[in-house]
Amino acid sequence: MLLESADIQEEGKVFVLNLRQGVKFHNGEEMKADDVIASLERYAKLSGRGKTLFARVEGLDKIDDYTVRLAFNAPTGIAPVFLQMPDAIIIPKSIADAAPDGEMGEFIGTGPFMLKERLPDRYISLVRFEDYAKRDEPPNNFAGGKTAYFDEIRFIPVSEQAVRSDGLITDEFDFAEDLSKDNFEALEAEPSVELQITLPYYFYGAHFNKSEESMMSNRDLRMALLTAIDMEPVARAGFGDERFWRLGPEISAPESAWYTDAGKQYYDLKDPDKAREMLQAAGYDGTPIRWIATKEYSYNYNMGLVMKDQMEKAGAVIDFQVMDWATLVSQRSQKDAWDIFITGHPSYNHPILQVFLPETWPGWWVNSRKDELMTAIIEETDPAKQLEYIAELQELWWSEACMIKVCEGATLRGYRTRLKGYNNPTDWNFFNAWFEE
Amino acid sequence: MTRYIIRRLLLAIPVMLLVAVTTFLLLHMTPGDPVSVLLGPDATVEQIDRMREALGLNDPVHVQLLNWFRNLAHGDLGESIFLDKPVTEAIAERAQPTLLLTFLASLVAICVGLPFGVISAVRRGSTIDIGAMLVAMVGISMPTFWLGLNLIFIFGVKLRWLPVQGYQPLSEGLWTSLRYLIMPALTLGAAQGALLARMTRSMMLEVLHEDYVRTARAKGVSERRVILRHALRNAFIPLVTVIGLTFAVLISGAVVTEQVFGIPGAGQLLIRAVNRRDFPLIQGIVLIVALLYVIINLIVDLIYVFLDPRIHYS
Repeated sequence: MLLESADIQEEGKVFVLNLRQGVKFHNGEEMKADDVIASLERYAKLSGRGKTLFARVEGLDKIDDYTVRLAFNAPTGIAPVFLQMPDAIIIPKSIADAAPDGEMGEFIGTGPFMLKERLPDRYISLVRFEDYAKRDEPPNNFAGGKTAYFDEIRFIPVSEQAVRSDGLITDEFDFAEDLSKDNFEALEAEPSVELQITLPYYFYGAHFNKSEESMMSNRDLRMALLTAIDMEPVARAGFGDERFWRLGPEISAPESAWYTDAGKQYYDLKDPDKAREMLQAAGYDGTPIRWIATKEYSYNYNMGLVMKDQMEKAGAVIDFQVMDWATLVSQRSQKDAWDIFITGHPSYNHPILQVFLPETWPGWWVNSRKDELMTAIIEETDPAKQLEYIAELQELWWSEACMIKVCEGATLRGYRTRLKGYNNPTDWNFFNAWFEE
Repeated sequence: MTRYIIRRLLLAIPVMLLVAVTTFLLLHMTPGDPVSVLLGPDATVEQIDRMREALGLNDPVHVQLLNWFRNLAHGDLGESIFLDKPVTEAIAERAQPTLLLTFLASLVAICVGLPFGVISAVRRGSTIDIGAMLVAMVGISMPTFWLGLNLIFIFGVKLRWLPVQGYQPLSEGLWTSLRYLIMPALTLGAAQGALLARMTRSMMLEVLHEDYVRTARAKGVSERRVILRHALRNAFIPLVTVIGLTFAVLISGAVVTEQVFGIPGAGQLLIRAVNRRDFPLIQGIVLIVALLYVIINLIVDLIYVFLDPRIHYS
């Protein structure tokens, strides 16, 4: 959004970033090369993705006030994918310098809305930034020209799901996130409420602990459990009726440019008898498999129960431990504390951004071919070639039974019909949206 | 009297110490780590470790406990890990909604509980008695959040009389603030009102059979005066204990109600603190609630003196 253009030189090793002129920060200063460099240096230090990308960076230099040269030690076609993510924000140099390795004291960006105030657990208020430097291209979700029609947007945390939909019906809220799918019919009957079933959104599945400390480091054991699973009832338990989920082996959704069905021969086999044989062949001796689950996210518990049942039908013994999310998060970082847990990952992003691919993430997938493929994806500048590598990576992910991916699950959102121009994006945003009374 | 109050306050110190140590140890025995919640799922091991070190969470538990006590002795409850501000400040910001809600809920409980209890006792066996006690039974048995969600559905969604959630401080005007608190106060006060009605009824029934009530009636004192002056005043002593406890119970009960109605009070603060394992904040809130219990009990004991001249503390 902040670039006039980027010149890719030396076969993807050098990116010359031509900044737009006259772009103002929320504090009134103009955005210049020094700000970009300070922001990216901070990103390189603090963000996990920033570290990955900057491990390849050789130089980040200012050519003039509106030109920055980003040089890599090897071709890095993936750079734009990383730099468009929200952790690579551009902030004034003064703020980046004030908080080089910690939380920012002030929130100053260049976007069409700026932060007015944040009262923790009460609300966050954004107001229109009058000096926003709009692009000339037509609007396109997060890209293109953005116009802020609203004077103020207030984000209010409301923990009770029922109260979120009640407030939407009574016109206390204009927009509500994560509504109960059980309320779908009731909400659909409301003439002044519009519903959004958001897909692509996240995909959900069970991660295996592949570290040496867990019996799940045995690939054949993982494959046996994967073979036992019948995906549909699991998806239904997690997300309700068919409108709210879809099956498939893909990491990135069919709507995305990174879709592939590679690995489908391992998906949805629903064969408990074969799984039983495979368990025996893998040397499974009936040791309880430690499954950590939480009721804080209903899909986590409900999907877990159905999968547990299916695995038990194949002869596995599951020790299903229910805990709160905070406990689960801390327990899953201990290699000796668990064997399986369920979570979700965005299905609308580039697969290289998935947190579960690096071997440091709980699940600890160590595989040299995976590393080679990830490097190839990062380097490749040709989208078609990149997709080939992605397909191979996805195939490997399945053949190693790294995870039992079950389905994509939708989230249900609702808004008052007077909200126009919203266009049901996956990540909501209110650029170019307005009220029509 | 003054000496009594001082002695009671001194006695509160060991109680508070016990509460403090128990809370601290229970929390640190609970699995779950504020840092992994704070840094999110993408955090690396070294990021987590650096933050734990900065927050002093890597010290042995007894060192952490001693540090906390040292600060406590200076009246410092520490810093909230998530809100990035002193615990005392965080609690003070959230005190108004909770105290207001508790006060209104107590008012609901007393205004409903006392009259219905007295009437039921006086008209024992009548339709009013049976009806009131049936409602009280239902009131006690109903889970708070269920009652809350139903009230929201009826008065918020169907009738549109009241806002379904949220809070406006008193500074926005009394009625504006009250509109947001009516349903939460009813929700929170209902069960305690029902309990109070049942207690009042049985206390009154006991007292109405006393000799002095018969004597008063024999003297020709009006029935109204018999009930209000002779019977109710004597029944009141145990009831004051119940009302005092009600207030204390309501403060802790506000946790659920605030969650349902989205009121940014101390109860909601506590729930979020627990979910995020914000140790200093949880400890601070629990300590302050315990302190409130101690103070309320003391006040109840002091009220006895005014109600019953026979009671002396020395």
